Amino acid sequence: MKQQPAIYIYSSGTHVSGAIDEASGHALPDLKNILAEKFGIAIRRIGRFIQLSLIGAADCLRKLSLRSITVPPGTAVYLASENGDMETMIQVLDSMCLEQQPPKPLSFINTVSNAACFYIGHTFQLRGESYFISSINVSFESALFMAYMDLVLQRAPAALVGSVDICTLPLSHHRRRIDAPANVALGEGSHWLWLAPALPDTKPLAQILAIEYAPTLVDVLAKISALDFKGQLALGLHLSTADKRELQNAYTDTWDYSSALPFYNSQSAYAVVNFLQQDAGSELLHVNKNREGGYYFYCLRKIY
Amino acid sequence: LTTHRTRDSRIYIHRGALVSNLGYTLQQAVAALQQTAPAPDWITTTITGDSSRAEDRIPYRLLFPKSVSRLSCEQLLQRSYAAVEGVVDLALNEAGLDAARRKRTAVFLGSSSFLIGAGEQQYKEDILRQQQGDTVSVMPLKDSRFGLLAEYIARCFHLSGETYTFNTACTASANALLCAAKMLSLGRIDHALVVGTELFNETTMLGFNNLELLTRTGMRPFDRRRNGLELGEACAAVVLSRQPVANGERNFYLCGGANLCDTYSISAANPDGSSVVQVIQQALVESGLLASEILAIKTHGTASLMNDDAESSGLNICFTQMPPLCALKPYLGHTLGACGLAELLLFCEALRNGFLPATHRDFEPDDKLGLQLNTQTAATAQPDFAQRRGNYMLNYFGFGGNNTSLLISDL
Repeated sequence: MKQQPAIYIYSSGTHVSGAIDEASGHALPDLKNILAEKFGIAIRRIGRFIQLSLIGAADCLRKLSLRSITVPPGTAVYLASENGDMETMIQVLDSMCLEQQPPKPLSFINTVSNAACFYIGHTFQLRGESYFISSINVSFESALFMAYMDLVLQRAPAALVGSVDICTLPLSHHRRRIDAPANVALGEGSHWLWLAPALPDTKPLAQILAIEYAPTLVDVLAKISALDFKGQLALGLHLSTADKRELQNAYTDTWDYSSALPFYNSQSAYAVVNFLQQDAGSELLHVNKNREGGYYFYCLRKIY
Repeated sequence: LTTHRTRDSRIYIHRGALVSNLGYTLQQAVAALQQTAPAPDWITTTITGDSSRAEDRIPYRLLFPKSVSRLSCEQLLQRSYAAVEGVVDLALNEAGLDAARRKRTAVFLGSSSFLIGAGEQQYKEDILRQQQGDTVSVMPLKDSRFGLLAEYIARCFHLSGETYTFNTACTASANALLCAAKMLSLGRIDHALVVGTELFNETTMLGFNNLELLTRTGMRPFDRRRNGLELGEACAAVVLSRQPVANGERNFYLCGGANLCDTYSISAANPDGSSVVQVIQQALVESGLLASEILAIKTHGTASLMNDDAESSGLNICFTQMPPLCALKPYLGHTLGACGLAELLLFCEALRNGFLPATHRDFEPDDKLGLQLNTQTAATAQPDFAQRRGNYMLNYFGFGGNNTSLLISDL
């Protein structure tokens, strides 16, 4: 079999809003202002999902620009989300069911989840592949898996992979929609990576050693064992207590990236971005689980 | 670049299953293709309400039961799950996947609306119950996770539990198929179940109506009288494998394909055809094929002014000698997220039956577009398609600037 090219992470971008609390006046942050003030991007009549997607993507791509890395226009965009643009969909449903009005044209068009991909493509002039992907509890892992395969197959010169989940009000409804525990703070986040095969004269942040699906935890452990992994373990949001115990028996150096975070569904992506931005640790293993009992893990090594 | 054309790297497309306004099976749908397209159903919107006004009635090509606007949330959910279960069951059986092989089958689902029709109805029912004094939690989108249907399919049919859901508007199930093929070609999975589903919902119906994209006088792609599209419901499912179908029937396989973001506009491809050209040319490169090697093309053909302008411009640039063209939406309606797979399966089944699907026989070409659709249905009138095998192109262009071109072959 032909040897597959190594895939590297060259940049990451992130934004977390939280913890959002209506009662104490910490309402949803004004993302439009952040987008305009921090990145100079002003787009009319887009909702918070598209704004949050643009903020994370802009942060990731700006760092490439600061390092004089040219982003090819054929860069593929993989956007993952558990629930997508809930805010726009709620507005459309309220309009139809409460006000007896048909959806406004642009609101209707923006209900298609890949509208955010369009605005990213349009803003940053990316005209490669463009996908919106979801998979319960493992949306980011699924998108990363697809992007990784694209690069291995040399179908794209680079890939911008993001995971975005917004918060909506009232929080009581939002908590129910995303199946969040009763007593945890709620938040939202947008986390992005730019991946490519080895670029000449350009040092990457990390190499992706593996991104895989495994039907059982035994399979996960066997596959990781073949990688000779010696780094930090990050536990996914949806692992069971028994899963965590078994993984921690095998890998004692656990990195807690999530206990200070508000609850939202893009935390698997936050783990990579946060790991790359901290000094400690050279290798990361992140394991997560879908509701059918299957596992996704990714493993990466920083390049110093 | 990796293409799927060499024998050991082919991704085979099994026969699959389709339920649509043309019938419960692919065979029924193919039989319907040889007749005049059936008339669409007409839905009266509950928002504008007055059924006496012609503009309040919207054409929609529906599955059974067709009384969608009178069904409860529970009934709409049952209808959705029944349609999906039906095609998945048939597709798995067509591919002959036993329990062991099903355990190594991942699900790739494309849709633009998922279960939103039931979600709309649930919200309306909750509002009504609250108005009647019941204590009920009234909230829109009680469960909006996109991955629910794919997860349900994996559980219901004892598949591997590895599921991927694509929501890229009208290209969703075509993109699901492209990504499934990538995983197969890397050997990450043994089989892929690809599903496309699009079922009635008011958001889509009223959204398209408000954009003035719907016709009341019949869907006529590339015809000088074209004035919009009809919506349609469909569920389609197919298994992709690296092994050909064992029974010696005409095997179709994916040669390759491409998906590209069109940054011209969120609601239409660039009318100069440049973005259509790019995706077609990339699909040809990925497949290792020349334009001159394409035997026939299934167009996207929505009969909306902007789509047909862009698509015809693009095709005219790419093909100096235009292959025979067909459009399936006059029969199925525009099935949005399902159309990628629904039209692929129907196209292959028509070819297995020896003919290229035809559009209405009174097609009147638009000189500005310069395209002529195939109007002959009978197998005897199309010796090329009854006797020859070849390479075929299927094009899809969606909202959100998402364009996809697939290339298949039975050579």
